[in-house]
Amino acid sequence: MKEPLTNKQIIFLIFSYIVGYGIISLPKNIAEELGTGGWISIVIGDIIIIFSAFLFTYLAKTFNNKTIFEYSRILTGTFISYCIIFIISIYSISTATVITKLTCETIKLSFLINTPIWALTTFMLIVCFYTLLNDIHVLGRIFEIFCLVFIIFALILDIAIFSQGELTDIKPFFLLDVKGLIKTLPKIIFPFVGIELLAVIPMDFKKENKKVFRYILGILVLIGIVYILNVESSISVMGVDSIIHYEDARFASIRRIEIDALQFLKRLDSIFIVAWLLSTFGTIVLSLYMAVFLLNKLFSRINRNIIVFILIAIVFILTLIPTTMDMLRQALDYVSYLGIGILLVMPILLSIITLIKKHFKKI
Amino acid sequence: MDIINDSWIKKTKELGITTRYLNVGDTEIIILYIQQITDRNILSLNIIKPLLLCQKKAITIDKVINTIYIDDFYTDTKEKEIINYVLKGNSVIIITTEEKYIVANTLKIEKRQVQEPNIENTIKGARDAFNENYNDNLSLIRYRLKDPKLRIDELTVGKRTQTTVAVVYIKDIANSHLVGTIKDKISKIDIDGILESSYIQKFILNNSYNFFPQSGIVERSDTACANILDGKVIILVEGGNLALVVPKTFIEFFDTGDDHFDNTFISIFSKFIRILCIMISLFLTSLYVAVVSFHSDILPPQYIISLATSRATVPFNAFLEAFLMETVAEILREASVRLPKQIGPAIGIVGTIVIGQASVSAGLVSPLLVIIVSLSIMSSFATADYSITNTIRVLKFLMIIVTSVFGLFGFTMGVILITVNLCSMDSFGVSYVAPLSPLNFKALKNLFISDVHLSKKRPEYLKTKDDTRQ
Repeated sequence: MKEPLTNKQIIFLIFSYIVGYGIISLPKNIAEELGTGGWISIVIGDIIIIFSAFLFTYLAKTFNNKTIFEYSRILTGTFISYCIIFIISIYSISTATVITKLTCETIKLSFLINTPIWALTTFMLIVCFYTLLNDIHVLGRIFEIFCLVFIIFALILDIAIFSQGELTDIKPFFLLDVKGLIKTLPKIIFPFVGIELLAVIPMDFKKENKKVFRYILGILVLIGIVYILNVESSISVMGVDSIIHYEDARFASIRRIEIDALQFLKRLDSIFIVAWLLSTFGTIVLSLYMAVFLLNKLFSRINRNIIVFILIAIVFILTLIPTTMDMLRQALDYVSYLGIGILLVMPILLSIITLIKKHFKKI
Repeated sequence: MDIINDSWIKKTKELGITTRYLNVGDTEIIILYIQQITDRNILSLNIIKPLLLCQKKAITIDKVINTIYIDDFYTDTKEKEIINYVLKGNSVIIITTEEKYIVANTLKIEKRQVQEPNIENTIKGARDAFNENYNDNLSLIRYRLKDPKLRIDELTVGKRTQTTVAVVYIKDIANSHLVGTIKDKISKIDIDGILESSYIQKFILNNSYNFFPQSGIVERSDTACANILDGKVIILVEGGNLALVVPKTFIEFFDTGDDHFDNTFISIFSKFIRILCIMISLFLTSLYVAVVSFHSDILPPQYIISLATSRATVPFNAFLEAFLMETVAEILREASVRLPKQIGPAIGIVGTIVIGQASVSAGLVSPLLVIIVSLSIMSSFATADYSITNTIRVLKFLMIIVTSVFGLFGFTMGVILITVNLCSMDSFGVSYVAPLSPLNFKALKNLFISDVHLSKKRPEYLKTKDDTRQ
């Protein structure tokens, strides 16, 4: 009676992967480049990512119940397929490493000043290891719950922050700087990196996941709304001029508000910390899951749990390499560039090959 | 019958079996029974007396059957089974000249009467709880469910105890795969003895190392019937006063029978209160540790000042303070469970004075922590099913430890660990976190509303054969 992965679970997995560490610095990044009209860039980024999601869904539909491991081999041959899997695995491990380290650094700087980074990363990676011992069905259940919790928390925070913010700070709404927009186009996509998870989720388009694209469309729109609310509410509290000086702009804006009517809950830091940790945990676990899934397929003779252990150990060792926060943020940018390649270039190329092969009736 | 000889009779005596010889005409009849588990009135008046009064020269087995006043009997020819039948409380009537023998049910067990439930208390619900008598328990179910499709499949488990285990379900509702799996797992149990339903629980669950119980316990017969009507399976064990109900999901532990009898709004309110209680019981003490040890800045200044004042004389850090208090509270709870009823209240008085009064006066713990620990203990009793309370007790300590090391970060990771454990579990193929994940609004709504008028369908996640209730 094992249940298949439902459409809802698939979209909550995508939500958990996409919405992660980035929400803490998103208001700063957006305001820095495009000021109060930054929400337009989020809309554009959302549209681009919907296109990418469409391509991944098209590939998954063409090769029903198959993942990139199988269809990349059918489309490009064994060698290139292995290269693709290798690149995705490297990308996933790098994402997990950078996000783990950045999260732990942020925690240390924000509220656990005396706790060593290695202790934080060890504990976090132990929890990730325990989670990754489960298959995608269990992950689907976990992130379905976490997502609901996160969305509720995010809404509470946004409403609370808006109630304290100034409308004048987010005006003018329509400040469209086309030049700036084009210049920052890759950065616009950064917050949406994660849709490539669709490549490793087997979907059954004949039964359970017939209407999955509608659901994906819905969740990507929701992510856009969450991001816009996140940015606008933060700017409404701090203003563009002030917010650009804070790397943890979201956290900074939350620390500035106090809702007296809530009595001992008038500070909202704790809710934010819990919600943010849930979201970053999702990104780390699911990026590692991508690597585990592909490497397990590649080395099918090795026990899956051993692969999980090795990957966690690699991530742990990589997080020990001494780095500054600036270096880490730079590393995150590089990883995001690689992510853009995987989520845009790869599906475009694979879709073109699919169309050509379909035309010549080779698949 | 070949088996009857002196050595065999001697062997039966060693087993505590009584042998009664009767001569009816020219025929010798032997009655075998165990005094302690036989209704001797029935034996004397309904079997021995009519046989002795029988005025026939030669008697056959058919004539014996027509002479004795027994409603439940059958015949058999397997000589090796005679002792087993007697050990199960039957009286075996052997006619020495015949191959066949009669097995008459004259079982009588000393038992409790049907009484009020002890662990599944109710205000409006029926109060007839299961007792240790297998037949009484089945009669309570049969009395409520007169459905011809009700099935009671009996299996024998335990090499030495030969315990009867009943798998009770409605044939055209319960998922056949579920029933098959349960029966298969029970029939594979290879153990010397089964004394209680919890034994079966350990054998049939996938992973006995999980924190959370994957099956529910039922004490009240109306709750058992409600579960059977939902499409679940009840497992009754001979000699046990608690039935098992499978599958059982985590959210169902918040549901009590009373919710179904109450006003809809009251039942929704009660469920939210129970969820809140679980949260308080699991997280409140660890949140206290987090706030005092790491994140005092998340509280407004006036609260911090009063918190600091209350802890001014406390020599321990927040972790040790909370850990010690929770341990003392657990000791009190454990002691009060074991104590005889007459001196039970004494431990409450000692606990209240020692913990509540003396420890605060001595400056060993802060008054706020006393309130938190009391609230936490009180909340843990608010769950509908007792079996989950113990899990919460253990996990509370895990939360205190991780929070004391890593603050809110540890707290969040602890919550994640518990959620992952919950999500990774199945209860006989049903997701343990259903209907929350996979999300099913209808089932979730029905579970919260608990209104039989509004719940027109059975829960989808149970994958029943017939999902329509009305």
